[in-house]
Amino acid sequence: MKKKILLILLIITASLFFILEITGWYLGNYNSGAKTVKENTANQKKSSKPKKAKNVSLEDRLRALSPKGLYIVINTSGNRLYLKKGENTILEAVVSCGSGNILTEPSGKKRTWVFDSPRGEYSIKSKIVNPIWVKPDWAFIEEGEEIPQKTEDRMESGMLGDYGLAFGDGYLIHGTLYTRLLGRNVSHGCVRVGDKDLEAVYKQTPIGTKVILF
Amino acid sequence: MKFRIIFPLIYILFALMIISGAGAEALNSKEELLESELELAQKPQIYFMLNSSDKKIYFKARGIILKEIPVDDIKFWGYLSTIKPYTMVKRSSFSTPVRDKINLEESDEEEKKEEKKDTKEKFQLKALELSDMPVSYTLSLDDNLFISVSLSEKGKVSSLYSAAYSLNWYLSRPLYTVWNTIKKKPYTAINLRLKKEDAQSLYWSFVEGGKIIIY
Repeated sequence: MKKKILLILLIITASLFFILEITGWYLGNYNSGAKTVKENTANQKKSSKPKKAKNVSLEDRLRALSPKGLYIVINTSGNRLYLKKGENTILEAVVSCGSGNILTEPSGKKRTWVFDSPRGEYSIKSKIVNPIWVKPDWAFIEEGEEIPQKTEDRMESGMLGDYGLAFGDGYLIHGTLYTRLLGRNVSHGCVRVGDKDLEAVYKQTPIGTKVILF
Repeated sequence: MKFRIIFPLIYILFALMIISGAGAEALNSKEELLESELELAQKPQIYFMLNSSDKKIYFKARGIILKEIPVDDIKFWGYLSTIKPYTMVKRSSFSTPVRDKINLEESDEEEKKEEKKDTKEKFQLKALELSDMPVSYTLSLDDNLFISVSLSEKGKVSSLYSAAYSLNWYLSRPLYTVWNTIKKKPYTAINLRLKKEDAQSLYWSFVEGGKIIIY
C-alpha cells in the first residue's frame, strides 16, 4: 500500500515537473531573441522619412562625440598602448599597467591601496620632462620604511624615465627602469612605457589629449 | 480572368505591406539602438555592445570601437523587448580571481632570492593578470537578464563542464521562466561561447556597474 502511494506521489511529482518544464520551455523559446517585439500597426503606417532623418541626426550626434585629433587607448589587460587618430593606429607600444595587488598599512590608520590602473576616459592634464617622483605614503609602507614628514625626503629622480604625462587622479604615463617587465601587469596603477615609445607619445600628444583605458 | 489579375495584385500588395512593415521595424530598432548608444557615449565611460546577428561584442567609448571580440555561438532564452542599456549588477564564477596581498614581512633577502630564482626559471609575478581571469562565468544584469559565458574550445575538462552546464541550462531555465512569469517579471538568459582569451578580457573589462546594449 505504502509503495503504491509512493509510486503515485512520484508520478504526480514527475508529471508536475514535466508540465513546468514544457511550459517554461514554451515560454522561454517563444519569441526568443534580442529584439522581437512587434511594432504596432500605427507605427508602421507612419511615413519612414522623419524616422530616417532622425536616425541620421542621431548618427551625426554620435560621431560628434568621438575624440577629435589624436587620442590614446590603453588596453590594461593586454598591456598595450595605442596612439590613434580616427580609426588609424599611429603607434602601438607594449606597456605595464596596474598589478591589481592590495597593500594594507600594518599600523596607524590601516589604509588600503589597490594597485589597479583606472578605467574610463581621462585627458592629459600636464606634460613633464625628467619627472621627479614624489613618493606617496604607500611607496614607503611597501618598502617597510618610515613615512617622511618633509616633501623633499619623498623626491626620487630617474624612476619615471625621461617624460611624464599626467592624466588625472595622480596617474601618469611614464618611463620605467624595469623594461623587461613591459607587457606584464606590474605597476602601481600608472602606465609604464619603454623609452622610445614614451618619447614618441610625449612629442605627439598635446595637453588635453583624450586617454581611454579599458 | 478576373481572378488571374486579382490574385497577383493581392500577392503584391501583401508583399509590399510586409516589406514596409519590416522597414519601419528596422528603422525603429535603429532609432532605439542609436538613442541608447548616445546615452552611454555622452558619459566618460567604457560600454559594451553585443550584436547578436553579427555575433560580436564591441568594447566602446564615445562611439568608437576600442576592441571587438567574436562570439562563436549565442543562445537566447526569452526575449528582450526593447533595445536599451542594461547595467551589470554582479559577476559570478566558480573561480573568482583573488588579488595578491603585498606581504610586508617578506625580507629583502627573500625577495632577492625569489628574483634570482625567477630570472633563472619562468618569471613568476605576484599580480592579477588576464590569465588569472575566469573563462566561465555569469553576468547578472538588471531586468532579470543573465549572460553566461563559457568556452567554445573543447578540452576534456571544458567538455565535462559544458555538458553539466547544458544540463543545468535545459533543466533550470524553464523553471526560472515559469517562476518569473508567475511573478510577472521578465526573464532572459543569454549563453555566449567565446575563445579563452576573449572570455577573460570581457571579464576583465566588464565590471559591476558597466553597461551593455544587446541588439
